[in-house]
Amino acid sequence: MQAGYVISGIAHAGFIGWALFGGMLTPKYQDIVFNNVSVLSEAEFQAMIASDQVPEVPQFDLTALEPLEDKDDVPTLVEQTDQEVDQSEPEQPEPVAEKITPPEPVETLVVPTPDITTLDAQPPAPEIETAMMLPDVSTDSAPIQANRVAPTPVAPPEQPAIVDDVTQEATVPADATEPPVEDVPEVKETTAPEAASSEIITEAKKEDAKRQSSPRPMLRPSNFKPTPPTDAGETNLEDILREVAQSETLEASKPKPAKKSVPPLTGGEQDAFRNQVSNCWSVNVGSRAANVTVTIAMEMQPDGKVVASSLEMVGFEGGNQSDANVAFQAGRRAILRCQKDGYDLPKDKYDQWRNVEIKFDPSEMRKR
Amino acid sequence: MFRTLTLILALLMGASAVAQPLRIEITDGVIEPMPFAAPRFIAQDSGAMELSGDIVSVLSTDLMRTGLFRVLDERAHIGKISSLNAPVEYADWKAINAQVLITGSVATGTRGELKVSFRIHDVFAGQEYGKGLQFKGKTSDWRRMAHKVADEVYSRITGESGYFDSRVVFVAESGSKGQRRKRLAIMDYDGEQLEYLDDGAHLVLAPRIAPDGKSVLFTSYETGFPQIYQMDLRNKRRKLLQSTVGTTSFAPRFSPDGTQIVYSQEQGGNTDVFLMSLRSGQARRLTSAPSIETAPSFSPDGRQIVFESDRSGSQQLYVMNVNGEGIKRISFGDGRYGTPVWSPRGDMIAFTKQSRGRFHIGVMRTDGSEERLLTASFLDEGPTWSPNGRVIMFTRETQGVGGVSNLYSVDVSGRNLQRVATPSGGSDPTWSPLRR
Repeated sequence: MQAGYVISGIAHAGFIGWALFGGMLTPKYQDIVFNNVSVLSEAEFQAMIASDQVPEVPQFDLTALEPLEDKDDVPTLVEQTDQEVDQSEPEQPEPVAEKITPPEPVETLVVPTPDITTLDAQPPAPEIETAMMLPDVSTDSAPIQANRVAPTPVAPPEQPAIVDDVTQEATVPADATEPPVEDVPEVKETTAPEAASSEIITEAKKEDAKRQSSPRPMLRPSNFKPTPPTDAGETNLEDILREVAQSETLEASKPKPAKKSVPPLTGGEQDAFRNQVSNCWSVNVGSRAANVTVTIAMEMQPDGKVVASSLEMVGFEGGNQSDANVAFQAGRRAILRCQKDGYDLPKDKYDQWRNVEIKFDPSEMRKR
Repeated sequence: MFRTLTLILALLMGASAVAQPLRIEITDGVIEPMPFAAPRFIAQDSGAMELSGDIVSVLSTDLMRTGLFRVLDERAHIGKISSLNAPVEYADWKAINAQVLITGSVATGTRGELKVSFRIHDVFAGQEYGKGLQFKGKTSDWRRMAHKVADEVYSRITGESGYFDSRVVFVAESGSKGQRRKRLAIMDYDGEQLEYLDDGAHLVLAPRIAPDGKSVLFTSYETGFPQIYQMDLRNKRRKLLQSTVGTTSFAPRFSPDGTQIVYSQEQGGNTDVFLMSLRSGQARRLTSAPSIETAPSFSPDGRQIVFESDRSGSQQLYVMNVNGEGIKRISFGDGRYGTPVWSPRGDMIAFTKQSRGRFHIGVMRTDGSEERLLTASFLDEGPTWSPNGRVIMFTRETQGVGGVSNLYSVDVSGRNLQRVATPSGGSDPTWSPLRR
């Protein structure tokens, strides 16, 4: 039994000793191979490159952007001889193109290129008169009246007959043989012309009555009464303003053609217009212009079409002028593209949408 | 005198009494591509016949790729353009609902010259967007010429600079996932004109193009350790950019003026952000926390640097001054944030976010506000901005043993996700500035 312990003890001791000294627990490091790499300075590197033959590198001698000539036909290289091309070089000694690869100088080919003018293929459309004749309709509820004064003088009516208490005997003509007169001319009852007015209404009174029913807001307070200048010799700014106010008051008091009372554009009508434009407003999300809110003013024609030349940017927020210009272009494209045959707006409310300002705000679009 | 003044005032006051305009406010528009017509450019000679169609094709593809434009089929055109300078019958183009009309002509020369003239019309306004322009170059550069025209169209309509005449350096990947070969490559932004920059003998990572587009920084394992190299894109020669041999350096990026780089360096088990002058080779440490600070990126004005750090216990984004002071955490959402890149506009920071087992490309304001996730997939990472700060390109890797990496782009609004066409897989894109 003890012999077993002895044998086991010797075996374990031997194993432990081999593990400790035989290298089993000793980590084996791999030899790191170092390659000799020379460190070059920038100057040495450049010198090394300069001393070597530089292989051919793809060259590109794109010339500068040049505007087209203001001619009917653009000069073509076919029409030019090589000599002509070469001769054009000194005429424009400062090419904008960048030479890409030294040491070979890049040869630039240039031709004289004066500014071009924008091609106006379509002559500007004539401005369409937007003045609109409104029907002169009175809002008075009174029935249409006939002439105020009867066309012919009316004879005074006869006095009514008075019945006498005393019965008178019928008189007999002296000549009884004469037949009595049977036909007595009928006396017509005198009446006033039909529907004649009991009051003479002047034109001035009629215009006043129409103005009272006009929906147009008063331009000035109704109780505004300018006072006359106190000193005619000293004209100051107050006097001038007063005079202007007076002239305005006088202007307002002049009779004006009556207009039909038109209710304002409803929310639905405005929404419909908004939807028509927004369907064409394409937003370039991710661009700098998408950070700009731009307001565009325009004039409309009675048929709902936009006067293209009237489109202008009247304000912007959230970017620089360049970004605002791009945002304006996008808004303008939307307005012009979606008008088609004219925006669907109530014709009788033209005065309310003759001038329009649209604010294009892309802030919500950026969140999509 | 006073009478005159009185009259003027009266007129002014009278004008003020004109009826007020109808005022409406529109907050709800539409988000849809703008339809445009680009009839085949007029060929001025026989040599320009084929090019005129090719140029219009590239131009149209560029515009449509933005997601902001939609080309109208040429078969739907009613109007015909017979001369670049002839008046345009706008009604013909209105009838097919073209909002923009692009007309042009192409001429070639006997010595390989190419001239492209064009005009951009606002159809519904019945006028041009500015004046007509013309580009001149070599026939072999016709594709780039078309990109230039597209840039001009894009710029005039959107008010932003374009990004079509730009290039992308990336890591082209081929082979199976376990034995993938990675090579540096450069191509046009649309995947055309691909050119390999190395033979793929060594593992390369994270190329970063210079502000002038003439060189590229990248991390290579050529020495066994990750080291930073700079390659001249004109002759493909490269140099090692490291002040301390034997240390590991990675995640380099140029300063806006191209004279300095920021990068990460591991020393003694600690990774920090360093700033190195490319002229003197002198480097200095910007961070010294016992955590991992990496993926630094300059602000466009060169005054600040955004980077990722796990100093708070999880990987988050921080902003500091270019001297290493004023460190401020800007990301506080769930998940881990990494690979931040400052927008060329300066107003946004793009990043990679890992949350709940998904990867996202997202953007946030430079103060961390208005975080928006633009994509979601098994693995999206490594965003890079287009030159105008409008589009983000990134790497998307599919799941599984047969998973592949490809380049994708997405609009900063989160729309218009597209795969960038490359002959094989790709990763780690870096977008060049607009070429001049």
